[in-house]
Amino acid sequence: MSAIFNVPTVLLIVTVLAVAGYFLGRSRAIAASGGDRRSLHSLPKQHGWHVALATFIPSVLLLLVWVFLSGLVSNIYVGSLVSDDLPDLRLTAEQRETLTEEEQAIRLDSSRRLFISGAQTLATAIEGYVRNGSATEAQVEAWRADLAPLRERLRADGQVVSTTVSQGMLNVARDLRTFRNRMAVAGPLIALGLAVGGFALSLMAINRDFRARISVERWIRGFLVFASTMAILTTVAILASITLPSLTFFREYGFFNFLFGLEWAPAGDTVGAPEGPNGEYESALGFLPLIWGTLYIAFVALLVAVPLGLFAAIYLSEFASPRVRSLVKPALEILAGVPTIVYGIFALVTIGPFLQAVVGSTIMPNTVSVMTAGVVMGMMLVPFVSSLSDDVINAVPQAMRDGSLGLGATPSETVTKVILPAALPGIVGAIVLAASRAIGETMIVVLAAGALSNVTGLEANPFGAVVTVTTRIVAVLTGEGSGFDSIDVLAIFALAFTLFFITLGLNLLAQRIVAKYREQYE
Amino acid sequence: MTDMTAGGPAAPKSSLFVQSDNVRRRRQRGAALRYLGMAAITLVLFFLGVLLFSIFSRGLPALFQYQAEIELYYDPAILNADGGAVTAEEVNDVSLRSGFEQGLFTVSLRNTIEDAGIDIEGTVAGVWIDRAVGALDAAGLSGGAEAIAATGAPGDAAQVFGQTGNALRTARTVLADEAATTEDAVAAITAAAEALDAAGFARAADTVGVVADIATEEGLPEAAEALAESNYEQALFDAATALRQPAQFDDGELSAIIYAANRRDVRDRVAANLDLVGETDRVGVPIAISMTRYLSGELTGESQAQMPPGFNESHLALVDRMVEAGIIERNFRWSFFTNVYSQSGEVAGIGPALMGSAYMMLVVLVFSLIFGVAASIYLEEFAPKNRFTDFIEINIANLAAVPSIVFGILGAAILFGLTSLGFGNSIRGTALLGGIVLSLMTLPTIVIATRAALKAVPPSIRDAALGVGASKVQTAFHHTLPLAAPGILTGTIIGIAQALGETAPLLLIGLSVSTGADILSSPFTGGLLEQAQSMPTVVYLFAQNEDAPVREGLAQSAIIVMLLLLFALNILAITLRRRFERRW
Repeated sequence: MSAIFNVPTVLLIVTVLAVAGYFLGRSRAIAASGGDRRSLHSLPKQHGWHVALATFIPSVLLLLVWVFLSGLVSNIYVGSLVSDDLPDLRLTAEQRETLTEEEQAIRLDSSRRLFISGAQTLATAIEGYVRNGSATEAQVEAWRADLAPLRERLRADGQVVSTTVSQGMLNVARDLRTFRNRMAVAGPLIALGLAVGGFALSLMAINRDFRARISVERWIRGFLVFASTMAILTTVAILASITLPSLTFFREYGFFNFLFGLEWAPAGDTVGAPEGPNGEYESALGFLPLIWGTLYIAFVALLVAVPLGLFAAIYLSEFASPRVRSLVKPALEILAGVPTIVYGIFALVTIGPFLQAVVGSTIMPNTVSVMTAGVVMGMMLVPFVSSLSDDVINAVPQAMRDGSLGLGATPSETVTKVILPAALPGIVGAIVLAASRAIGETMIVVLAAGALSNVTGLEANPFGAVVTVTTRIVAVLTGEGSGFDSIDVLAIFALAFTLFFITLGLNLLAQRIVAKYREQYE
Repeated sequence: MTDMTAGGPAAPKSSLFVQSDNVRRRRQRGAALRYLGMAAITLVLFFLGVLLFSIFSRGLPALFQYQAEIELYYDPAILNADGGAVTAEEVNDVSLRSGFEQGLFTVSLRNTIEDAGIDIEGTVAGVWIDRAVGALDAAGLSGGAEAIAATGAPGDAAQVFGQTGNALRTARTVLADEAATTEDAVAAITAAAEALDAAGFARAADTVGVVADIATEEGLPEAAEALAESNYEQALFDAATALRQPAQFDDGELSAIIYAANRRDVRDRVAANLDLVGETDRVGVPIAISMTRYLSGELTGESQAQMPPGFNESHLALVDRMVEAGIIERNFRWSFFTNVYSQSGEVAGIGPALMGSAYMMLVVLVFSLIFGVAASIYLEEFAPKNRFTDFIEINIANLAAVPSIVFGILGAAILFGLTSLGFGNSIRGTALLGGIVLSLMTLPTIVIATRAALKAVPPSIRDAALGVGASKVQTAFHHTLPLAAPGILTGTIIGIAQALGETAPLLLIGLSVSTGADILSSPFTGGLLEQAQSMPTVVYLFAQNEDAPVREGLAQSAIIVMLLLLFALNILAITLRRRFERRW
């Protein structure tokens, strides 16, 4: 049974059925037309497509949903198998006397989680063991309390088993495995049924007047609508993935403690189990030092990027000859296309040591600093600012230039007194967008701003190292994810939360400004 | 011109053909803006130049590797210490470090060098003897070379010089001691002079002998001053220190020159083919990476600061001779493109990163072409003008400006979620997950480009198709889409190029954790679902390495490869646009 009804096989069968459906549907439609194709409502190939889609789509959708939900469902199932009075979970008498009720609940919860994950691993191990042909179903059913040899046997077979295995765990694992196997067969079985049903029904529906085209086009439109909601789905997914952990964090740690804290010093507390003497978290997770570093670097970057980008844009759009423009524009595009990690490494190995040599190592103890990251990030933003400003300046109606020049103003007076004031809102929009980029920029600051994990207060020295929001996110989430158990990891999601909303706010602001400006001249 | 309007009858005569002072001033003032613009552009271009120079000047040399060609002898004595026939199990039991790296490789290296006619001990001793003689000469102790030759081995000379130095030091202490009598002083000085004479420095012995006369005739302080004028003591100690060095150059020091990278391969090869035992093979072995900085001329080796870390003059002298003899050669580093990432710069490569990036680009191509084009067609051709459509548009515009790291957070959250469903560890750091996250990130770019391409198709095409009875779907797919295809393709390629350079989101879903060896061993069977690396993440790993040559050399080499790929993609996009773009 289970050999046939697994996901890949069923997927293959359904595909073959769909292809067959296409040809069968087409020939059936031609037959139904009675020799005169014009009498059909839809083209024969549209009939064919109809059968193919009716066979394929419902069953494949079901399979997809099944693959993702079966894990969730079996998680719920295993949760229902494990009751709190299981001998493995029961607290010792001593624990029940000495610990408070809350602490008991935490103990119980964590040992319950441990037990469940043990049972899940064991179920997977037994399944793998049987798949390898090392035991039959009957043998598995007969397994009893000889647990240590059992574990050895599974290990020897190359299966992963957790260190503590009890009789209760074995029972749960066995039930879970049966349940999983049933789920694994049931899904593909239903999917196959859907495919066969869709195949048969849609084939039978074919006649001269059947509106296959309408139906096929409805499928296509459905897919188009779904594709265009991907943007919404992505936004929702981002919001959900940053908001839920952040809310837990704010509830646990305190929103204002986070927002106005002057110290960032993670200490690895578990969520819900503060380790400080007065029931507070030992981790200090204050936002201010990080946003300070972020804004400081962004400020330096804008200080570099805005004048350079603006002057370059003015020159290119108002003064430069076509030849110069055709040479400089591609160069700016190259600069814009360089990945940010390249800028980061450039800052690390070239700009940092150069700055240190210039200002001396008493002012600049490390090669990583606000200036190192800021200057390079500013250079990265120049093409961005200049191309946006270029668009804006070019959008100023030619009539205004002509009018100004006609009245006797010099070209540069035209630029400073007519074009720039007219383009100002657009330029401000461009600067706001550049600021949003600078705040969200990651790789340059990760490599060139400093990598301290603890920081107190606000660093004022522009040649000192700082910690930024994005640096911390990368430092904590890179590598083995430790899950949502640690308050420090939750704090990272809170950082992402604030980062997302700051950049979102800036982007909306910029779009507003630019839209207003467009209205003015259109 | 303002003069003309302001002026009454008193206005000075001006001509349209002669520039007035006022106009000239205004024009001059205006020129500042132009110069500022030029200065800004020059500065930016200069920065671009420095950036590219910094990358290529470090990265290109690092693409070459210094290798020692050695005659590897599969010594039965090492492979099977007990004697008797060598078996595969015994070979596998031989330690990689002491048996292969310090055994087979070092012995073979020594033999190769000696077969080339280089006397290892002689070369090393020569450097230090030269140095000792130099120190002695500088202090006026001429005849040092003969003195060393007379004692035999450098170690013996070191002992003699040390004793002589000690005799001089004793004399100095006695002279400085206020309680000492003239007789004590004379005795000590005479002993020192005799020691100098015995060591072969007759002239110096005479000079010191004079000090004894000063001590008797003028007094001890004057004698101490005279002795201090000659710098013999320090020079002798320096020479002794230098002469002790050759004895310390053992096999361990010798093997530090090479990095026995393929020792595991060699062991596997011998174990699989026991006929090799007792045979010799010619193999190229990478030179230790900090030594390559000397070979490339980056470090001169003339002072302590210029010395490659972990080496001294002995190594440099020997390496110089090996280069002369043609044992060390500089070859293009092909292995860089096939090896996996490693902490050791000698063998680190970008193979899995190239594979992983290729896989991810494939996922991005498929995913964003299908979804991006579908979404654009809907928004451009079908969508009614309503709130829902506006909402989608706002979302796309915002997603285009969301920092890339936020997409990484999304990926990390998906990973945490999938872990709780039991999938997480099978998908962490895979090319599939990386590709999906990159696709979500690239989607807005591609939608914007595709919509622009669809917009450029004139409405008359649509009207004609609808007019002859095509449905809206048929019009879109049979007429509008093919005509917009070049523009769409160009936009897609540019989106992919952007995704290729993205680092932060990939770091957050665990792409920098594994070496990615699996993706190389099974490229087609499970490539999408193996732990992968990508070009930017491997650059990041190189940048985090502790060895300066890796951080500043190989990182830039990897960047060069990445930039060339980006360049190729952009050229492809431009060519497509030139070739197929139609202007209406």
